Formats: sequence, structure tokens, C-alpha cells
Amino acid sequence: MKYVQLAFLLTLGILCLNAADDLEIRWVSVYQDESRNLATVDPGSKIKIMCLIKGGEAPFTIYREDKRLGQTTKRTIRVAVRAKSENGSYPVNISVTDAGQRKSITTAYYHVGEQPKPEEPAEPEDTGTLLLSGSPDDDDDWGDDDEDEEDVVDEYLEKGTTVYPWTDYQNRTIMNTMLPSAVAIGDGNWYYRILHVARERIDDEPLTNFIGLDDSVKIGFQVAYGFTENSDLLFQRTNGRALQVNFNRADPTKMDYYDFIFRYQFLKQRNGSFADAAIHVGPTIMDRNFSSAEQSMNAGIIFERNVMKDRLRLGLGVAYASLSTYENTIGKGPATKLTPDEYDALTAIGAPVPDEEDEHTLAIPLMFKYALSKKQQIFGEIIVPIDGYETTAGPSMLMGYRINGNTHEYSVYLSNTGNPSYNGTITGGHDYDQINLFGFTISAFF
Amino acid sequence: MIKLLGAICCVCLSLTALSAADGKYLHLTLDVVKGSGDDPMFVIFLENKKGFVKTLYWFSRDDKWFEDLTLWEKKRKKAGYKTWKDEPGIDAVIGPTIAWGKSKSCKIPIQQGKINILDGTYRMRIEQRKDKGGHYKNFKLPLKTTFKGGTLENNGYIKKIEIKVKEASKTKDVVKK
Repeated sequence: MKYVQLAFLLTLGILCLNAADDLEIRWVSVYQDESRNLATVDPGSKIKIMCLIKGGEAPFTIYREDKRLGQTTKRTIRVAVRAKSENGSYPVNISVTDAGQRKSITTAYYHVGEQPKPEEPAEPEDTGTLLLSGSPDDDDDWGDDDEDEEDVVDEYLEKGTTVYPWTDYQNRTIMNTMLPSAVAIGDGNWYYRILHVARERIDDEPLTNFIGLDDSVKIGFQVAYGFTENSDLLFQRTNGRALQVNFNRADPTKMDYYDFIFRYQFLKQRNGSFADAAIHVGPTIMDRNFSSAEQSMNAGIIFERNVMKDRLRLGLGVAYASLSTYENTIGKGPATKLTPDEYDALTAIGAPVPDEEDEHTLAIPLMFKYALSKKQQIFGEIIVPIDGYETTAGPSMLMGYRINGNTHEYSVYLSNTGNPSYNGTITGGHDYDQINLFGFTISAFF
Repeated sequence: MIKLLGAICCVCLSLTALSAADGKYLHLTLDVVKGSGDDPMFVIFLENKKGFVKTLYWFSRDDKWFEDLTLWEKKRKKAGYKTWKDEPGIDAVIGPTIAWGKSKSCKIPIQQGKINILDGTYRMRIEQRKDKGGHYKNFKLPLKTTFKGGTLENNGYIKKIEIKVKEASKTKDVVKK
């Protein structure tokens, strides 16, 4: 009988709620002894908030809370009628959902109808709570001007995520030196990067060739734009190699790389996921003198996770290029990998060509980043080719130092590959145990 | 001797009068939450029902980002100050940035020229912003004639704000680190 009564009352309550949808303003009063953030309240603790709730179907949205909590941010709550009415009010259960987990449950009284009149405010004291405009106890009508806008809430604050001074900088690298990271740039944001990496080893002529940067430098210009909070498009142009595949031409034949990478971030660690994770896909177009081109279809998935209080960020993934490439470091390492187009051109003029190589490469990228301080990091990246073409001289490797500014990011590094294009970085390095190519990047966020 | 005593009394009275002229001030202590990345900026300004009146305090010396506080920027421009440097006396109210998890104080004179900020016609606004982070604009504190200060917790990047009404002559208040 009890259950029948409860079911009846539940239905009645829901009906009452539905009937009350016509009302534009409703109030929920919840009481708590001390001022705390609602999202971090332990189950069972008493809270006190005065909420103005918009009508409509659950979940309702609180857009104004009591002065004691001092929050004017949006929160989504679920409201359900649980028992019979008491004195014109409906006891309800309120659960606050934070990062997909129910953080607090408490009973509140759901008043249908007019806003309950607050108690007469006591004379403010030195140690009292500051009474903000718009709070239920404020009797001063400022007519809240038209210039008022919604607050833009801080995700970390909103979700109650623990952060450290270096967390933001650990998470904001959207492009690791060789491959994209697992973090999208964010809606409407722009990113620019210029990368220089020498093809001359620093131990050849460290002083006279300015640690390899005087000549034979690979330069990557990159720009990225965030279309949504979780998706962006990265474009990078890298100068390619000069191959004499057509001896009848007076000008050298040049090939440049154009990377187009679409990325979608589908996991965020700060939202409670195990790690940040993103997939990326897109072509690298290898253009020769704007007359002929070949393309590689690239795809990958990257996972990155902060550990040790966000000090250490570790990354792991898979990267694939349907037509990989490799350009030899000057004077050392495996020979340049020819593309089918180059084979054809060289064969046509009777030039000697090496045995044809596998066209694709599948690799495992690994990375780490360690925060030395709020803005400084050391980082390392390794990409191990596991299938298809590889240089047979070990994985691509680099290690470097990065410093972050307000809008810029600067890094210097040593590497064993001078191939910055997507399908060139994953094929391996020029040597197992030497990282002697100097490179640097300058990035800007807007 | 009587003349001397009279002179001393006059001097004392003059000094007392000077102290009274200093008047009261608001002692504001702002505790910032623990956070990450660039430190947040805070601007405290005064407005009445007609709009922006004056900037009371700035917690950021990085003036190239001042314009990112768009509410203050918009209201200030509407009041006739094209750039932030156009507002008289603003240099005097710019203090250091408050780092995450730290606290700083400032003092705001109640009588500022012809403006008595506690005459019941003003309210204090605080705008808070972090680059590529939150932007909180809706801190509005009516400054009534009966205002005696108080505290507030958890408002945007403010972990706790405490405002006390103090006598200027009794304490030496400077921005503390």
C-alpha cells in the first residue's frame, strides 16, 4: 500500500512539476551550515543555497545561487519529486553532477508559485557576508543594466579539478615537435609555429656553420585553427629536397611537403577521463615544382596523460602514412627514400635507382614532458617504426627544452631526424645513438 | 607659559583636524584560488546608476592586457575615457598581479575628491579574467550608507574577499605581498 501511495504521490509530484512549467520563476531552498562549493559538498552534508530555477524539463539549470556560496555560475542539477508535499512545498532530491559523477545528494524544498520571501536581513557586521546585488536578500533595485553579460566560467574551477601552476602549460602544447599532440587548440583559437631544424650535424662545424643552421635547414611553417572546442585543422608547409630527377631542366627539381591534419579530441583528462586522446587524419601532399605531386594519407591516434601532480605528461599512440618519406641527413645515415614518382622520373632518364622500398610506414610514437617549473619543461619524443619502410638506423628521436610565455612557446632541441613533415618523421632517424641535429621552434597562440 | 600651552593645543587640534580629513577607507583583502597557467587579472571599479565612475584598484601591472577586461573597458569608454591612461589618477591604483593561491590587500579611500563611495549611490564591481580561461563580470557589491564590510567566498577566481572599514590615521596600510 505504501508503494502505491508513494507511486501516486510521485505521479502527483511530477504532474505538479509539469503543471508548474508555465511558471517562469521557481525557487529551491537548500540549507547548509557552512559556505562551500556545491560541487564539492560531501553526501549528506547540509547546504544552503537559494536558487532561481528556470521552468522546463529536467535537468533544470540554476543560474543564481545564494550569496553564501557566492557563485553565479551555471550548474546542471537533476530534480526529482520523492515524497508527499509538506506545507505547500515539495521535498525533492538534488544531485549535482560533476564530471559525470554524482557528487552530492541532498533534500530540498521545491516551492511552486511565488518566490518565498527571505527573512529580514540582519544588520551587516564586520565579519558578515557581503551582500551582492541580485542576491535574494538584496532590496536595492539597480535595474541590472543591459551591459551585463554571462560569466565565462573557468572549466577547472567549474569542475573542481585540482590544478597546479604548471598544469595549463603542460596541457597547451597542441603540436609536439614531430607529431600532433592529443590536445585540440579550442574553439576559434589560432596557432602559428615556425620550426627550424638543421640537416648538418652540430659536431661537423659547430662554430662556422652556427650549430648546423647556416645551410641545409628544414623549415616548417605551421598554422592551426580550432573549429570547435574539440576539433581543429593544422596545416604545415615544409621545404623539401632538391633532386636532379630531370637533367634536361636548367632549374633544380624541388619537392615540398604540405601537411593537412584534421584532429578531433575525444577524451579530456580534466573532464575525468583517463587521459587526453585525439585522432588525426589528413594527407601530406608532396609537390614537385607545382607540376606533379604525390600524396600520403596519414592517420593516427595519440593518448597523453598527466601524472605526478601534472608534473609529468606521457604520450603514446599509433601513426600511419600510406606513402612515407625520408630525406638523408647530410653526410650520414640511410639514403633518401624515393617516391614512386621519383623512381619513374629517374628510370626514364636511365639513372641508377635503388631497390624500391615499401610505400607505407606504421609507427609507435612515444613522448614525455616534464615541468621544471610553471613555465619551463624538458621534453623528449621517440617514434618507432614497426611496419613498412624504416631507415634501419633506429627510431626518430629528439630531446629538448621548452619555455612558455603568455602567448608564445619557444623550444630548442636535438634530434636525429631533419624531416619535419608528418610522413617523414615516422620513418626513423639517421643513427641509433646520436641526436646531433639542432632545431628550434617558435609558436604563438591567439 | 599660557601662550605656549595655547600654541601646543592649537597645533594638536590642527593635527587632529588633518587626521579627520584623511577619513576612513576600505581595507580590501583578496585571496585568489589555486589555479594554473597565467595569473588572473582583477579590476575593482566604482559605478552608479548612470554607469562607470572610477577605477578603484587594479591587480595587474601587465597593462597590455588591461583591455581584455571588456566590461571595465566598455563602461570606462562610455564614461568618456578613451584609453585607460585617460582616467585621472589611475597610475596610483595599479598594484601587482596576485599569483595563484596568494593574497594581497589594498586600501580604498572612502572620500575620493567629491565622491563619497559610501553615500549609498555607488556599488563596487570586480571583473576577473584569465587569458584563455574564465571571465567573471558579475561581482556587484552595493555600497550602502550602513556598509560595515564583510567577507565573501568562492566568487570566480576569488577564494575569499574581505572588506573592512577602517580609520586611515590608525594604521599604515600598504599593499602587502
